Amino acid sequence: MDGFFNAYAALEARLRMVDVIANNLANAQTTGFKRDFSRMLETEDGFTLGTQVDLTTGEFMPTGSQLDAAIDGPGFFVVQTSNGVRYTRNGSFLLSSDGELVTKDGAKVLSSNGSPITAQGGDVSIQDGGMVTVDGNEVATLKIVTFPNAMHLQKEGLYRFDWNGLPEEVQALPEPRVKSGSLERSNVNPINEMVHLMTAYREFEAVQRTVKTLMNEMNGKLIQTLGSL
Amino acid sequence: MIRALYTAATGMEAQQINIDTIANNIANVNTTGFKQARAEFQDLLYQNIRPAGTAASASTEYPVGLQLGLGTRPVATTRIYRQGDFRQTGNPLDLVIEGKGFFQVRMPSGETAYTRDGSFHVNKEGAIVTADGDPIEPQITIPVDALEVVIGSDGTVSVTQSGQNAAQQVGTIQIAGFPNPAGLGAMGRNLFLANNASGDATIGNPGENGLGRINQGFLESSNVSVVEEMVNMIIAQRAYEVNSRAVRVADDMMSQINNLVR
Repeated sequence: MDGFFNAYAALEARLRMVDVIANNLANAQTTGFKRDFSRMLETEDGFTLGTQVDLTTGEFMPTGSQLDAAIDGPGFFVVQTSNGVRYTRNGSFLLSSDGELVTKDGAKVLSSNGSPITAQGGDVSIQDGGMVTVDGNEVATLKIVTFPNAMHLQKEGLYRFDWNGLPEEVQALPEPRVKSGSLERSNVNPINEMVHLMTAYREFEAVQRTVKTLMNEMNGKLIQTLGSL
Repeated sequence: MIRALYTAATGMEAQQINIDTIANNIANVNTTGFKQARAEFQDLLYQNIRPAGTAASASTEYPVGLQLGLGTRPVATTRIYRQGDFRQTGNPLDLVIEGKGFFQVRMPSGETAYTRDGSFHVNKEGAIVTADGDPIEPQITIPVDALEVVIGSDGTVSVTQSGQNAAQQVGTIQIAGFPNPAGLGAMGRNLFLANNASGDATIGNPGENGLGRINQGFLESSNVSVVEEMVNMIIAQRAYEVNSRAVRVADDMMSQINNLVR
């Protein structure tokens, strides 16, 4: 009967793998999206499935907008949401009607001293390196932070990441490579995802055959036992 | 299982909206003053089945968590206010704004709308109006006997009337700038309306306070690049395809589960 339960867990794991892949594919065009990948983990009583964020940098897409920025290499923009400070790789910003630099869903972008950035009047733009200028005069610098590992980085949706580790582990990046006038595309490669999708599907099929065989055998034995009574 | 089906469906829906936006861009490739729109997406919420660091046993913990995303959704269609190419027309009432800013148009309802389309005309009373007949704001009237209309880069409108040698100034075209032009609401007919997202208009003379300058005798072409839109369309179509593939696989897996019990 042990094999039976293991096979059931294996089927369930493949289903979840497909869930993860479907989410990656759905977000193949989400700015700054980071794909998840699933990993099988060994446990004392078999195995379990885990997901991890793949933080590789996506391709850059020039947009020509002075308020768009992308980070080349590691780092996250820091934004203030109603639930607290969150982190994002999506640098598609705009100015609110109060002249504050915000994300598309209204979260305030924070500067290197941790306050929202106000840039009123004139010609506002983000320069390479993360400086925010109004008519060429620097008013603030974007805050860019890094994390020691991806383990406690939890996705919240809506482009955002939450850090579940210790607060002092969040480090400001001294010289961030911010590219202005560009956005970072999703790092999902549809071809790779299709390969993962097919692999998960075929593995599912194999396990499903095993289950079927086990069931047939059990049925056969049961009939034999009953018949000999 | 059902999750993957819905997740992939959100992806397909997003690509449909993407294609809609691209189609509208392409349809407006010859619209004066049209600004390209781009659909933007964001990831939906995540289901946290097991956070990282959960205890696996008394002494060990899972190094990775289990988070399942629920797909994508469109968050905004952003207008890209890149300058379109200038097309020389020679018509004295064809104007372009070189740089930032919008012409102000008084609607029949009394509201002010904003436009980048500077193909103006004179109505029978002599007022400068848009192609739809709405007067520009502030109103400027060209005398009926005017021989020549000259509009300076700072917006001053001067006319030479018959029998007079010196040009006479009849008004100044003022333009409006916004803190966030991407937030303006498009209402069709090349017009935009201000709202909370765009902020209040700052009205000024062309060439002042970061506003663009006016060029007479030109029109601003649509800033849509057909090649770019074609590439975007191919990407959107392929993205739609892979999402539909995920639906099919999810469906197949479900049917196999159904077949386990005969």
